[in-house]
Amino acid sequence: MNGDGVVGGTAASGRLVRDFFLAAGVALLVGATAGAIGSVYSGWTASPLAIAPFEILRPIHTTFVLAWIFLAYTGCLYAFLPEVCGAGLFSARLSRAHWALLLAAGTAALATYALRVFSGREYLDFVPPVSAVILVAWAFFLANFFGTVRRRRGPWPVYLWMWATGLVAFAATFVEGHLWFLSSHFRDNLGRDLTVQWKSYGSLIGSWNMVVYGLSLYVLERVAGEGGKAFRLGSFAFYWLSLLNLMFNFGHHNYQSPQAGSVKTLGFVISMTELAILAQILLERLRPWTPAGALDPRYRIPRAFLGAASVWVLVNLVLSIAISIPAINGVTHGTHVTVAHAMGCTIGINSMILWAAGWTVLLDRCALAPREERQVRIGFWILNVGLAGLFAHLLLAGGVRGVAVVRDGMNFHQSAALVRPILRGFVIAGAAAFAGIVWLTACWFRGVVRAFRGPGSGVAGRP
Amino acid sequence: MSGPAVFRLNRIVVGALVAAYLAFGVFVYANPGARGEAGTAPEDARRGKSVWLRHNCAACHQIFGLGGFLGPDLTNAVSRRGDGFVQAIVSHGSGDMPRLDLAPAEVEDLLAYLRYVDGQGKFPPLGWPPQGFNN
Repeated sequence: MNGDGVVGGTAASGRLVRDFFLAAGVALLVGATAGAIGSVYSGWTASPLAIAPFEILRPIHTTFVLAWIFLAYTGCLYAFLPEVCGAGLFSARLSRAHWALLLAAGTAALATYALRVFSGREYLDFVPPVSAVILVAWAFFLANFFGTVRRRRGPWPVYLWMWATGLVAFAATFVEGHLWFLSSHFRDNLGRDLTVQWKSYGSLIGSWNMVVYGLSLYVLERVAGEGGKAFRLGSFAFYWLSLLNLMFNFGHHNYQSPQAGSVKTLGFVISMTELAILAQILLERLRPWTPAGALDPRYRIPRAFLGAASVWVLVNLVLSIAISIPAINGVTHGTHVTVAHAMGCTIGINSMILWAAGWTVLLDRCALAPREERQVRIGFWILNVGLAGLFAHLLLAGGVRGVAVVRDGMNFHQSAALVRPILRGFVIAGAAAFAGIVWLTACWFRGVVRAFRGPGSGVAGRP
Repeated sequence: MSGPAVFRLNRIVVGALVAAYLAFGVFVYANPGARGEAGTAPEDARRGKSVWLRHNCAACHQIFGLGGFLGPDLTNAVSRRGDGFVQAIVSHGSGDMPRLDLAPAEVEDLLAYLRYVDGQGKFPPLGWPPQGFNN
């Protein structure tokens, strides 16, 4: 450990982690703000709160919420890799270039959206030149990641496999998501286009989930008394099941589209393997837990976020299995149930785990005062209560609308009027969740600035 | 099973999954979807798709339930409401739907794209109890 309090790293790598964490916080604020404003359209037409057009707000929301996930997990990986590999980062220069290119891409995306310049593709709304910048940045990241892990002696723990897989899978599926742009073979046939689009998106989502779940396993080992699992068969079996889903579990997005029947059938079969994950989670809950008193009190905050994530994993897993059953999918597809699933996973699972991992990095360097810890807990509860309300309202709106359309034949305007009161509840609950995110991000910024404040600031380092 | 045996098995499983993934990818890329080669868009529909993408219509509208939820699904908008209705909405806007300021040729192309989509299948799948796979 050097004077910067960075274990196995340098002051430069400490600043790198800080910059990724700060950028992640900014991205989250931008994305969440766009989402909060955009949500108003669901409940009220011509509201004075809807200060920007929806077709601009939605791409800002999806792009920057995903940017939060990538930037936060990248910061965590840059922080943890030296510990896991027993060696410093392969190249500080590559990591700096990585950060600068992502900053440029994010700025360019925001500027093009404001000018109403889009690719027109959901979730990859930015234009191809921005995609090219992201891909170059990713190449630098991959080079740095594998250059660093090559220095590790001995077999890889399961979370290292998960990180490596997730990063490689992102690059491959990111390119796959642009095949429509590269070739008319994909662009000009709707069935093929929708299939390949959602094949790539399913795997893109799987790629960042793989990295985030790997982070959760590492943090569980570090702060929750669950050491020794990283080399066991059971942990690797979970990894293989996750990889299977990353690669093949996309067909359920397209049960209703003109895609090949064999792809739909495979999607259903793979979706049902999630039952094994559900069973494993339920079994884990029956096993004895390490009492909180036996754990390092410094890491209470990460454990709180992990606890919340475990609840949301259970809730969202049940929902995702349900909506992968074709008959249920026929009612819920194209409704707000899909939004509930997306937001439940992005906020309830991925973001909670990222805060757990990020706060572990920060607390390795600088303990929180009781007052500061209380502030984080307040934001934690505001967010989780708001998220529960948001989630419930979206599920209800989607279910009511789905039945009204499929069973009763209501048209769009009739069904929209029917669920508008429910969606107003979603907007209000969403405002609470937004307040929680803003609160937590303020705590996050304070924590990051303090933790990376340089030598002589009372940085404690990892005990 | 522990230690080296687990790591050997891991390499085998990951290798097998990657091989299966690549083979499946080739199948998916070659597969023309449920409509076969009849699912290939005519020239005016291809231009219309460019209009659709340029104006980010998927932010608010869906095709086969995929897209934003602010506006209606447009899969069968043409057959349900007619060319004239769709043309009027696209040209003049309605409620939260902005007026798009499209040239007449762009409106025609966008209509051609929506007609093409309409011919690819039906959404939502009406009827109770709900069926399984659709289209």
